[in-house]
Amino acid sequence: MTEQNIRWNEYYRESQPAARKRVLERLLGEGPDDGADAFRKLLYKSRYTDEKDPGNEVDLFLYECVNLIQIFHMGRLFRKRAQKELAMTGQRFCLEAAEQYGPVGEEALYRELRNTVKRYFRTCTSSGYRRGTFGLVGSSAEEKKRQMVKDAWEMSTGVTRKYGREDAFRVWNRAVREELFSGDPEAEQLFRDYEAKQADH
Amino acid sequence: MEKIKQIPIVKKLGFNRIVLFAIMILMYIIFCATIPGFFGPGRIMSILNYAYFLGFLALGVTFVIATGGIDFSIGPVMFCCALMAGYTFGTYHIPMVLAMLMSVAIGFLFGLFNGFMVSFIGIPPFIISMASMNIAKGIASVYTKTQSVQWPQSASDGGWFRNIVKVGGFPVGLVVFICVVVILYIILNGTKAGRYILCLGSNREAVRLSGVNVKKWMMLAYVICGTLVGIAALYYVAAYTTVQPGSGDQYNNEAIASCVMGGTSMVGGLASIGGTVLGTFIISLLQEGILAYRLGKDIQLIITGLIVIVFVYLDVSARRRKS
Amino acid sequence: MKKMMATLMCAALVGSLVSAPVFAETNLSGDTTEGIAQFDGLKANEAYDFQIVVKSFQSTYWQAALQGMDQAAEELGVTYTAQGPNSESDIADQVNMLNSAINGAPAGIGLAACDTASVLESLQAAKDAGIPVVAFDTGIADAPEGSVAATVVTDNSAAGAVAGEKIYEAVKDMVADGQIRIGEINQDATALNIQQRGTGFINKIIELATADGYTVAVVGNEFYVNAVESTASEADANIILEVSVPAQTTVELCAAEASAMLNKEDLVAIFGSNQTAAEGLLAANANIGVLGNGVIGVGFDAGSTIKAAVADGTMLGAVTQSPLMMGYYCIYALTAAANGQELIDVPTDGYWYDASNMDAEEIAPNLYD
Repeated sequence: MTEQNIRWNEYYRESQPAARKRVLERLLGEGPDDGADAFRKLLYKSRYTDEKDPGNEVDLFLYECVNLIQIFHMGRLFRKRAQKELAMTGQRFCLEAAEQYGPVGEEALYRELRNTVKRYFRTCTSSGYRRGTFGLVGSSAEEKKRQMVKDAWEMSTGVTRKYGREDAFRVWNRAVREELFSGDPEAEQLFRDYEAKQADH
Repeated sequence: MEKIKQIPIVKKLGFNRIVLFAIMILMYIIFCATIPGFFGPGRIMSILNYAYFLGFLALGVTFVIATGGIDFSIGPVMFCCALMAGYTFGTYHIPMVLAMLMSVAIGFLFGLFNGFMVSFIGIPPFIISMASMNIAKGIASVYTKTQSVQWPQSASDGGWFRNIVKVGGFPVGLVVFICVVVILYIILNGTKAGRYILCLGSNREAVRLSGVNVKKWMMLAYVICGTLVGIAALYYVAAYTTVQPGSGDQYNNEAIASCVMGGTSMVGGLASIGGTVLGTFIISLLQEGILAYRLGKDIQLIITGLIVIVFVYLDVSARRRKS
Repeated sequence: MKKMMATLMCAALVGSLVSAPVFAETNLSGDTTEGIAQFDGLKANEAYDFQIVVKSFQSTYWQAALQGMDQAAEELGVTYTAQGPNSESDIADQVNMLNSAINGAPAGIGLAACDTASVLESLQAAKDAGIPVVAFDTGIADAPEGSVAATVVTDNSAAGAVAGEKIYEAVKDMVADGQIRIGEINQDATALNIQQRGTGFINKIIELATADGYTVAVVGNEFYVNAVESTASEADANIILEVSVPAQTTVELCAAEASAMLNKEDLVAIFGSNQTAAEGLLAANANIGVLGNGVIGVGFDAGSTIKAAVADGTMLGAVTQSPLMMGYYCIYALTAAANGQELIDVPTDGYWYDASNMDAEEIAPNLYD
């Protein structure tokens, strides 16, 4: 990691939007621009701004995590529609815009997406996550982990492969995988197993 | 099995649904073969009469299950709607149109109540639906002074409401049912509201943090359910005329069984309108077959109960296995 | 309506002709010789198969009915299948069974309707399909014209009236001492036979009380209150007649209603208008022991519980129907209808029995277990 990146660690470690804004503004004001500052601003705006209701605190990237899973499950009858939605997600993630900023931009995008996925995985530990049988039975930590891995696969490899957009979403897929693997060694194995199973279908 | 799954039409429509459809056709063929006179319009109309109200119940509860909750009050609320609206019609002589709207409105209010309790107050859906169930039974009983209520015969004043089922020989009910199914399908799969409902069933916390007003959308699911229950009440009385206070529980099981058979996940986040419809028809067909074999109500209750158990088991073990 | 009139006329005509043992004074419709005579020499044109839909198999009453059916079926060389819902309040289930029976296109259908309003559409369907229907145990008011070939029932109004008469006899002297309460437990307010019995009982009490110059206030279940005419308000009446109907037709729920009534201070007599209600009454009495001991109890139908109570004096007596006869003539009527014969109704007998006449020749066979 370059020195620039170490500078930005704090920004990417934080998960609360308000706190992140403060850090962002501070770092933008402070130090030298590594070429991706404008892009980081763009990403922040894309992620945390609700166009219709500026006062509302949102996290649209986090929403896309859940949305992508639904897009994955869309029936074959809706193929065209799914493609469109996936494209919209890609736009929100600023995937194309990243290319203008080169490798620095890609790095910034990668870290932003990893931050998103980390926030998502944290929600998977809440008690309301995947309660079984109509919400009557809580899930064990083991089951939650399995579900989390399944979610991770569906929202990354699953949906992008299904609609042939793996290349366009490569940064996203990498972010999801690496965030998942870094957190828990067992998760990697579960992921590989699940992927192998899906390949059989 | 895998080869079958690769066939384009199977992939397009979904393996589960094809299996359900095949089961339904198979059942029908077996019944026609072993029961003299089963094949024919008479039996089909009977099956449809049962499928209408059960279908509306099942479709309603599909939305609730999609959010990760459950609603056990649908049967008693259906009875409550039918009882209160019917009693008002019979005693205060309001126009039939108003009585029908009243039935839907009462269902809507119960949906509002359930939804409010679950999303805003935070009571677990299981608990509140049990409470609603008893409240519905109680209110109906008090309102009708524990009498049973009869809706008018077709020849009587107000009896035109039976046209919602059929006019002459034409199955109006089927047309209505299909229209409602299409509308619900579009709501669930094609609108923002439906997407939010599915998403919050999938991971409520993430959706909440992302800034979506989870409470509003969760309540909407319950309101949709309640409204459909109110409509189901009308089809129930069109078939059976008389409703008695204090019952209705058995239809809960059948509606939920139809729903889970159809592929709606009990964990939330995944729902299938088409699957629910197929499930409903299978249960209706099953009931007609059991009646024709003269096996008795108990067999039907056992089978329906078993269906729920089997699907819960499959769902639970699939979650354990999937990794 | 026409059938009801025919029934009443026959009853009036024949009641005096036939020597009705023991109950000549009770005015129950005696054997209508015309009704039975229509079956003289009846032979089934084919080995018909009939569908019978009973109210339920909840009480042994229906077992007795089936016995009668078995006998008739054997004599005529026809067959039948009987089905019924789990309880007499499972109206929807019975409608389903009836519709299924109609769809099966049998030679004829015998029906004991749990709720008369809910079967009317089905009866029209049966008529359109050309399937003759015989109503037994309970009549079907407002049945579509021509859909019911014959009705084989007890004159339920008269049966209720007999119970009313017996109770009034026993309590009329108590009125002078103050306001008294008479209770009635009806298992439902939906089946015509129960409705007729309940209102028959009430109307008889009102009639006899009025003749003696007393007033009656009817309170309780809305249906029955509205079906009769009280002659005074609850506060002023000499006799309060309280009617209870449980939410479902089970012995337990009837017992709960009876219990509430038995605990009332001014209760002097109570009537249970069918086997389920009377058994509920006895169940409620099991812990309190007031029946036969301050409170007069009258039941209906038979069954081992009620018979025992009548025999040992817990109950003053009861009115039994003849389920055997009803079942028997139901099959006969179905066979005749399937043959294409035009039928008239067949009223069957009801008998008052108490400890003194339980073993009498005419009564005993109807006291099923």
